[in-house]
Parts: sequence; structure tokens; C-alpha cells
Amino acid sequence: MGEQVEYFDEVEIGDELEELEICPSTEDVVRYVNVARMASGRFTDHEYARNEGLPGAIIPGNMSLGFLSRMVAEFFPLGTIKNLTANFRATVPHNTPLICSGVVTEKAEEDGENRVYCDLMLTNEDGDRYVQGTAQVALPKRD
Amino acid sequence: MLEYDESWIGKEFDRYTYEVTREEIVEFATSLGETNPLFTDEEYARSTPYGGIIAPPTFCVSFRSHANMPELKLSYGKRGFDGGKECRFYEPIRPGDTITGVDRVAEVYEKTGRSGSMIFIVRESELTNQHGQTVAVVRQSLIRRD
Repeated sequence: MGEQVEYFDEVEIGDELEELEICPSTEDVVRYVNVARMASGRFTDHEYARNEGLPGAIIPGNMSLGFLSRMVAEFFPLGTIKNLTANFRATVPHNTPLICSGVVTEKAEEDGENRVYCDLMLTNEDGDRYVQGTAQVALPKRD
Repeated sequence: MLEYDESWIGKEFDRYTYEVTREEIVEFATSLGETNPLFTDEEYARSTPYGGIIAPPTFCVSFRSHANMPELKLSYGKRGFDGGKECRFYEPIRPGDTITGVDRVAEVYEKTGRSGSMIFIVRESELTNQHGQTVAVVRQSLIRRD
């Protein structure tokens, strides 16, 4: 486990979240789509996907969102994720090294909670942006 | 110019129910490589303020409606693609929960950019547990263009 931040007091605007590096295989995607009830050839069958005009089977947007959520939760272990958004800018291929990254853009006290706002990205190693998103996380204050 | 059947806005067009098991929560977490034992280890989870295993936040996207969007009689937009998603989380989802989803067309609007006009259709799924608590709201934007 890499760097983590536990308390609202420790967060500063501009802080970068610990990156999450992953390389989902076709087997990983099959496992995800089965439990997430997303079974479709476009996610698991390269030939089927090519017949749909895709370069090959792709990672579902929901799975990409899941990786971004995992990165946020690992960086803020005492945090509660309140909101996640994602814009899917390009299809994400299988068996490609991917990097989830994020940066803190705002801190605020809202509805009696201490919230941290982050911008999120899922890219390949060349920095090509597949998914762009945001997160809001409620964090405890140090007593 | 955007024209469509406005009578669908805010109207429920599908309702569905799922029972949540511990096994599927653990499998979902494992498939994403989640490292937090709160999602996978009952003994650890019991020692936390949650008192037991909860689902990772994005588990809520696995409650899927089988209904297609209602026919909105859009004035254009032959091609469609996924424009993005917003998930708001209110209560944890736990093993044994019965989750009911209600789907509505939340809004339809038009945007014009350099590549022309596009229609955004926002499908909203409100997920409620057996105690009547809203656990999450998922808003999915579908983009249509010619």
C-alpha cells in the first residue's frame, strides 16, 4: 500500500492521490462482467467486438469507474465516497497498462461533513485520456 | 432543433428488485482488486463502525434494469453512445439487502458544439433498500446525434 491520507486536516488543495497502476486482462474483465451483470460480447469477445467496429473487446465504463473508486478509497482509507462522476472519452482496451490518478481540487464543510473534491483520470502509459471524472469524499477531522 | 415526447420526463418506466448476497459482494470487490478488507473479510468488517461487510461504492451499478428507454420520439439522433455517469451514495449496501431500483427519464437537453448538435438523455436509477432508505442514485447520460 502506498501513500495514504486519513484526516481532513492533512489534505491540501493540489495534493496528488497515490496512483493506481493496473493491467486488466480479458479474464479479469470476464470475471467483472459476470458479477456486474454486464455480459456482452463487446466486453469479452474480441471477434464480436471487431464486428461491432471496435478494435477489440473493451473494458466496460462501469469497471473503469470501479478502478477510479478503488484508487480514491485506497488513498483515503477513513473516507466515505459520497459522489463519483465519469465521462467516457475513448474505449479502453484489454491487456493495456492503465494508470488511475487524481488531484485534490477543493475542500469544504458541507451538510455537517468535511468534504474533499478530486479530479480523476484513467490514462494509458502515454497519457492518452480514456476516462475523466470527479469524486467527493467525506473525511473525519483529527480529534 | 430538439423535439421529443416530454410526457416521459420524471415518469417511472421500470422497476426491478435484487437480493444482495455476501458472495457477490466479495466477488465484485475481488474482480476490481479491492484491497480494503471491509469489502471481503467479515471478521475485520465486524470490528469497524459498519459492523459487517459492505459493498464497494460502485456495486450499485450492477443492479440493472432490463427495460429499454421509452420511445422519446426524438427529432434527430440516429446514433447513440454512452456520455458518462454520476453516482451519488447515501447508505451502504449490505449482504441480505433487498434493493429496488426505479428508473426514470430525468432530463433531455441539447448541446451544440464544433461537431454539431447532440441530444443528452439522462436516465436516473434510484436504488432503495428494504428499509425504505435510498442507498444510491445513478444518473447515466446517453448521447444521440446524427
